[in-house]
Amino acid sequence: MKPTAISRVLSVIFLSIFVSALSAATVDLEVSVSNPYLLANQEQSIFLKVGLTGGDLGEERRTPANVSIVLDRSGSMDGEKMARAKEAASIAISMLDDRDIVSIVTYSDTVSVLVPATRVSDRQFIQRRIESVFADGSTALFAGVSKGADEVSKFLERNSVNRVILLSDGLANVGPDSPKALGSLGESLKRSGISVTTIGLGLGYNEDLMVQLARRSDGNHAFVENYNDLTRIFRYEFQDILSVVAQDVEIEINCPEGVVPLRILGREAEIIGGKVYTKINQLYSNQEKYLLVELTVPPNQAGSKMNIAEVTINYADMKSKKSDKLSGQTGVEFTGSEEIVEESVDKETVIDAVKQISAEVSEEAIMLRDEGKVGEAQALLQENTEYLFGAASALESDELLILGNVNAIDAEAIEDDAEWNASRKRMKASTYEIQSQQDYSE
Amino acid sequence: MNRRLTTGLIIMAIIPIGLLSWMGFAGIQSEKEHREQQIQNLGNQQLEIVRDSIERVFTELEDELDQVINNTGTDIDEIRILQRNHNLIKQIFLSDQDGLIYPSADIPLSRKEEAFIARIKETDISFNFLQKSDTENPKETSLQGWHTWFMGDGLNFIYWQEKESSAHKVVIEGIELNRSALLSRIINSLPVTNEENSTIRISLFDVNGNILYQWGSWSPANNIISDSVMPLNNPVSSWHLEYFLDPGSLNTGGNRLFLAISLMTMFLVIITLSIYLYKESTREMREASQKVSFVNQVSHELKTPLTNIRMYAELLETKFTKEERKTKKQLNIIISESNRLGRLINNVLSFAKDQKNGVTFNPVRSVPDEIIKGTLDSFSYSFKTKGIKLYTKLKATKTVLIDPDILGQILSNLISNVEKYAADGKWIKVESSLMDETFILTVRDRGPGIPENLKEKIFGPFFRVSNKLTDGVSGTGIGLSLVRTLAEIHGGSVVLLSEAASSNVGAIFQVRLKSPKEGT
Repeated sequence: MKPTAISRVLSVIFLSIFVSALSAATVDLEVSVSNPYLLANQEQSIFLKVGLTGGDLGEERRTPANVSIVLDRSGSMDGEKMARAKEAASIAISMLDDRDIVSIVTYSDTVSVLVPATRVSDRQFIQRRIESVFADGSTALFAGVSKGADEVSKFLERNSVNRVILLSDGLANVGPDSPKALGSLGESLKRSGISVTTIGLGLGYNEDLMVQLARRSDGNHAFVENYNDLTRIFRYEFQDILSVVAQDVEIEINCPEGVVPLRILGREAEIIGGKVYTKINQLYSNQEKYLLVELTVPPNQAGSKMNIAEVTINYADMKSKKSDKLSGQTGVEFTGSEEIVEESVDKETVIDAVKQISAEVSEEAIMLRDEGKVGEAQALLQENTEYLFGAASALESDELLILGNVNAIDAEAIEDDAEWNASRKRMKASTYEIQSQQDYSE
Repeated sequence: MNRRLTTGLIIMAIIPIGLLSWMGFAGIQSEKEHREQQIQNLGNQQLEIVRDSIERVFTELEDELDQVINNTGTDIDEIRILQRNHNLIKQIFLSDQDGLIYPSADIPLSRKEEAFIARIKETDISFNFLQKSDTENPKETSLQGWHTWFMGDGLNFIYWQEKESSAHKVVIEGIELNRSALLSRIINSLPVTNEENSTIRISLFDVNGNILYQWGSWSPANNIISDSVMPLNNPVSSWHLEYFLDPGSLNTGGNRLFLAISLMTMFLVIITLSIYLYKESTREMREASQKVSFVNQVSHELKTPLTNIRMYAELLETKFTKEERKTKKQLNIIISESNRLGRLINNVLSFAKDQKNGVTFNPVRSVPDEIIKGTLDSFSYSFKTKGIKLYTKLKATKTVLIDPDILGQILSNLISNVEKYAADGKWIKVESSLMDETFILTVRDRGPGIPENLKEKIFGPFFRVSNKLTDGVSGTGIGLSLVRTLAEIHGGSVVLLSEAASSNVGAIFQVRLKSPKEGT
């Protein structure tokens, strides 16, 4: 684990102890800007970060889970993959208890509900059902996710973690099969409070579709090239699920006249004039999720202060089982001194912004590569590597250094036709990890 | 005989087997047609249920969307919150005859709202459904409904309702649906694959023939035509349902198997029966031939001592003087009776031989009349005792090739018959003649005669004219049959002359024997 991440987690833990001692808050809101000091008399663009960190509920008071495991049992899953998938599902069941509700849906040509939504009390029954699955036929992915979500909906509750976990190794070939169609489904599910975590197994699946489904529904995504990693990924996912502290987190940002939100980095959000809206489905214990907004700030005289954004958060507190509200604001000060501007830079926010920009570049490189422009894609990634290394030293960030190295590897891999399928899936997954601040670690 | 029996039995077996097969085939054919009809009806029934449940999704959806529209004002912030959070709504819009009121470029818009405006422009939705409100009685028409159009990779849906209407202005609120969410909702109203639908497949197709959703474990091959098709209703009238049934289900396999087993059983029964009958009859025949050979042997054994008796009796007769007349008479009886017994044995032997196709034909050069006279001599005593007067008209005096044994036996049999059945006429006339190579022998009597209808039957083996006269008269019933057989062996024939039948007095038998050409 990266040193900065450790320090961040440590500081978060420290902070949450401090916060819980004071107000027993389950969510910590931090609003910051990349540059608290700006040069006077010129229009500049800066990054606004709205950071949300979940507190700790403790095992006793953890949020119950309402999970549907949707298993692809198409013909290509036969053999080792299916064996590992069953093992992973079994491990997942063993991590749940009778506070939780689970359902298991399988799909190939058609969809079957292997275990209808049920409380996890008769584990043996569920295990037996998992054992009975065999691989055969094609891939009705859309219907599989629909039926999985339908099972979750039967016990849909604001105070439990409602999630569909999709495990697929192949291309959807029965029913809607476009990333857009699955993305729309994901968006609709997100609005119902259901997230879809997508786990792509092997090299046969459509990563665009799987990432889109996860992104639009605010779920996680993982690329499992080595089948043996599947149980580990399932364990991470369920640890994540069992550490949810807040849900239905609505973020509203209001910028004063003159301050213009240009774009959101990484996440889905709606910008209307000076307002930004978005929703995060879950906040996990000791994990930070954030929204990065690029804003333009109008010119101002030196010495003057300006309010940049007012942030309001509405969420369902899993601890108090009630709706709660947080608000925060931030501003900038204008100065004539470039030194002050430079010295005052909020490194943490800038590092996050660099990561998001790097993720955008990765996406662009993939797009170019898809169009056959291998050279351009490689050049872009190499340029990005330089950018990351530069930023790493300027910001003294090991995290960016590591990211730079990963980028360098991607830049080389992008011209290897034989490896491209795997590389693309890996790039898609790691990009999404950055964009959604997914943290699959113990 | 054996071949005929075998053929008969085979026919007996083949005809019912063939008949059964045909019936089975015809049965399967008509059953197939019947079943196809049944499957189609079944499919239609099931598809109707599915269509109804999809319709119900839309009815419920309409209620839900009506509520959404009724509960929102024209406040844009309120509308935006709704379209941000409702899981079915992609975009809400307000419009009047002149075009979109919201979203419109007059206010800051989100990217989604901008995309909607672009989409609407591009899609040539002229909002012509708004024009309806210009009709005379706008209040009476139900001002709500669906508008669908194709874009992207499928059908897009707008549900709209009249919001405000005044004399000159009509505002409608429309909702563009998230089509994936709508499809998901439809899918979730339909069954999953389970035990109940293990033999069927029902598929929901879009306008391009792509499967949107399907269920049922039966997996028909791609080229299989569905058993039933049903289009859906507005707003998804471009979609349709198809129903497939696993032909292996619905007991068809069981029926066929049952039919096959019963046919097989019947084949087996018929074949076994045929084999049994065949064995039974050959056994009977074997037994009969065993009996015949037994009689044959016994007759042979009888013949030798009888010949000796007759020979010595005849020898003895010549030695008697006139004084010993009475003894001579008794001796004549012995001779006559042994002659009769000899003839009987000969008949039995000839008949038995004929059964085996074994009578030998040994023509020798001789005068037929002499053979006739010799035969008549052996009857002289019995004629005398029965008071039968013998008349002869013998004209076959030339030497011809003839089998004396056959001629003797034929004549003996005919005379025996007169003795047995026509002795009351007290009259017998034997005539002979030669015409070219044919020898003709006629025997007439004045007995009761033979009815016309039995003219041929009397020549059948073991046949006896059953009437009062013949009752109580002993006989073997093989006489005339043997006469015919012997005559045929000699290249000739025997007939009962019809003039005798018509005169109703006595019987006339005429025998024709053909002499074989010399040297052959």
